[in-house]
Amino acid sequence: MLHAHLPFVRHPEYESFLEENWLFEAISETYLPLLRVFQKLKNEGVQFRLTMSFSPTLACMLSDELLQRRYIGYLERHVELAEKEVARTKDDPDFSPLARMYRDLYAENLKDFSDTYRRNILWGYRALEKEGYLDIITTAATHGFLPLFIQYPRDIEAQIQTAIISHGRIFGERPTGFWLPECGYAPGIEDFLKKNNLRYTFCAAHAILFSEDQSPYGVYAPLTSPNGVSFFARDIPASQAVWSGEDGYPGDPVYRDFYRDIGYDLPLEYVSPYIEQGNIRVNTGFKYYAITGKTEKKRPYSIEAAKKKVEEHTDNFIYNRMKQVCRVSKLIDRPPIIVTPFDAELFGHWWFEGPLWIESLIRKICADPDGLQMVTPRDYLDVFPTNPVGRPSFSSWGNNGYSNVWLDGANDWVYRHLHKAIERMEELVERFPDEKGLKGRALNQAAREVLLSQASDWEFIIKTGTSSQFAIQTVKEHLSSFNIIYENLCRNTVNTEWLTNIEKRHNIFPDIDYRVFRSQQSRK
Amino acid sequence: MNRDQLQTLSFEELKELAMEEGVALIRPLDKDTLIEQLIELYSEDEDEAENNPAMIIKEKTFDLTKADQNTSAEMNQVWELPERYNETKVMLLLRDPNWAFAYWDIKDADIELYRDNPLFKGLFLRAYRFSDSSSKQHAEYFDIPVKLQDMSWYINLPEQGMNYFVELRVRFQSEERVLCTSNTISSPLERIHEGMDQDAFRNSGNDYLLLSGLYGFGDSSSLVQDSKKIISLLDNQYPNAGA
Repeated sequence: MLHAHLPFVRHPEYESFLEENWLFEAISETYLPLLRVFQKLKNEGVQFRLTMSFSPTLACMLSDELLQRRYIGYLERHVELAEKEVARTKDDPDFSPLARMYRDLYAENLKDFSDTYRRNILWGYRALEKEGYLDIITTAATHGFLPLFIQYPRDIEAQIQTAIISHGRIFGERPTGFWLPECGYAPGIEDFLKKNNLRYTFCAAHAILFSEDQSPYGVYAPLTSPNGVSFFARDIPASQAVWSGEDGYPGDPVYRDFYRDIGYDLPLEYVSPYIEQGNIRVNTGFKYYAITGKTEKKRPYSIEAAKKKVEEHTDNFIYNRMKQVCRVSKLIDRPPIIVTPFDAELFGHWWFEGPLWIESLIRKICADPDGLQMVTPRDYLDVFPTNPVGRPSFSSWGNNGYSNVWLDGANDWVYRHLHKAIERMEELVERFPDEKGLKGRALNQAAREVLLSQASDWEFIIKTGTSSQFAIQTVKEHLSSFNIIYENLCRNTVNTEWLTNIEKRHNIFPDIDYRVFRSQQSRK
Repeated sequence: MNRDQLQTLSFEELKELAMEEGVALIRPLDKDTLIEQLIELYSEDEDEAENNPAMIIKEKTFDLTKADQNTSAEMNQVWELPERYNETKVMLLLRDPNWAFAYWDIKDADIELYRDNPLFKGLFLRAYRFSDSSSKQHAEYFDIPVKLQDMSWYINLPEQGMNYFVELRVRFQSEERVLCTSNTISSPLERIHEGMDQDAFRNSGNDYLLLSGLYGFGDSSSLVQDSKKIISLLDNQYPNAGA
């Protein structure tokens, strides 16, 4: 299971905007390389099965013309830098092949993005779903950490319904599964999933381990809530092997080092055209060193050595999963399912060799009919529709296993405002139950701003300190925009020019209907 | 917060911060000890962040520069939110099985009324707990004094597996009044339930842990009673599992 998500960052009012690079880096290093891996496997006749979730915020950004255009510019700058790097390193036997590798990578990205997928890579993923290789599911509309909104059922309903509508518009299918943002579960969330015909979701291991209803299968089969929604719990040993930076595969000394980047290593005048505002050093993606170890003296990265290590690591992963299956199979009366969900951005962005590892893993698993079998939760439920019944326990996959990351001394102040915005949105829906025209547009934008303010990423970033001022300003911007609409509507006015401007900037969910915040009672 | 920032706080502010963070206050209390305890706590938090792989990956996704330069935050417009909304309300959020976060607001007019009233003795939160089988009316409670200017508090939940709600109350010389009541939250049990029945499921406690993916670190039987260790293992996802 690969979960692809980035928060909505789109600033047409600026010529360029640093945080839009989150998207551009992820397309270059993760989404396009993964797509190529899947296409390659498909072309070789490998019948693989994988679940992917695309968050509605990410899917909207990938479908956005402005961001697509800006990404082309980003790629063209990288191709230009790559050419300069090939020339600069031509006499260096260690770095020259690497510079050529980056040149090929960015040129391939440009070709695939512009020509193969005509700027929308989701077409590639959508085709793979239609051909039976992928199950694509959704998550909360703006990736809100749902347990901290459980007091506001209409909001959770809005997050889920908006996601499903957005998913249908972009992928042409109704999703059957749902990724709980941050694996955040609180009792009652299954009711919203059920209401929206979502059959399954994913949770942390201790959601099942600490459940009042023990499953005889532990995490090796889903726990189905009394209303019929199945919870697939993350397997710890399988996750650990890949996730852990130090002890997992990505931390191997042979692999490419994430931190050494020419954006910092080369003279400012050389990298100036390719960094932020010409003078703020940032990652460029051109990295020439291997992790090596805990030393400043890094060895040059060797592509061949890394490829060899990838094969070792896939063998090791399969070997350990087989051992795990043998150990667990003695205790249960059906084949265990090992659920391995990852943030997609791990593969390629931080762990450069990640896509190669996935390719090798899929190929090896699919080549051995007596070994592991790739299944999606949907496949599993088709074979085993009846599972132990119970309710998971409150949990997440964050530090300490609960809400601690998203409710912390640094970010707890946001909830007063986020909750107030929901209450006001609900009030607006009651006061204006059936508006169209300008007022309807204002109400729809209000709904967008409420949802956008709730992305779990903002609390995470505020807590961890990375770009915290940007996260704070973004939350405040969405909430302030909402408040402006609320106050205008209370005065029975709409500022058309301002509204048009904000609609253009925060253009997510073009088909949103503000009545998604209406109570069930009012709908009847 | 770092040492320099903590040094700027008064003794009373540090004490409040320590209580909010759940630091066990060692007596005799002095400013330096409080600062040391808080620094230790914050470094533990950092360690947790460093150990949780899911969080590490997430951090890397947002790493664009080495330092937190906030280059794009210098936007054309700086957005500010109202500090509060001039309403009387209290909300309770569950942080983990042992801690909840309460935030509240009191109407300006009421605050002025209390401030000017010579009989006003203070505000406090009354935290109630009750089990699923008992009613709210028979809930046990404990009080947490707060100041007029306070707007939020972390509340230590004394017992897992219970339901909690709070009332924001005002105390006058000879009476108390409820200003508002929060929503109810349910704290989960952070352990394997005692109801786990070996006969029913054929599996021993060790087997159940194995079925939860917790194996490969010696005697697992102690884990059945040691939820903190389980959480820590889940967090760190024990290092040798993949090898």
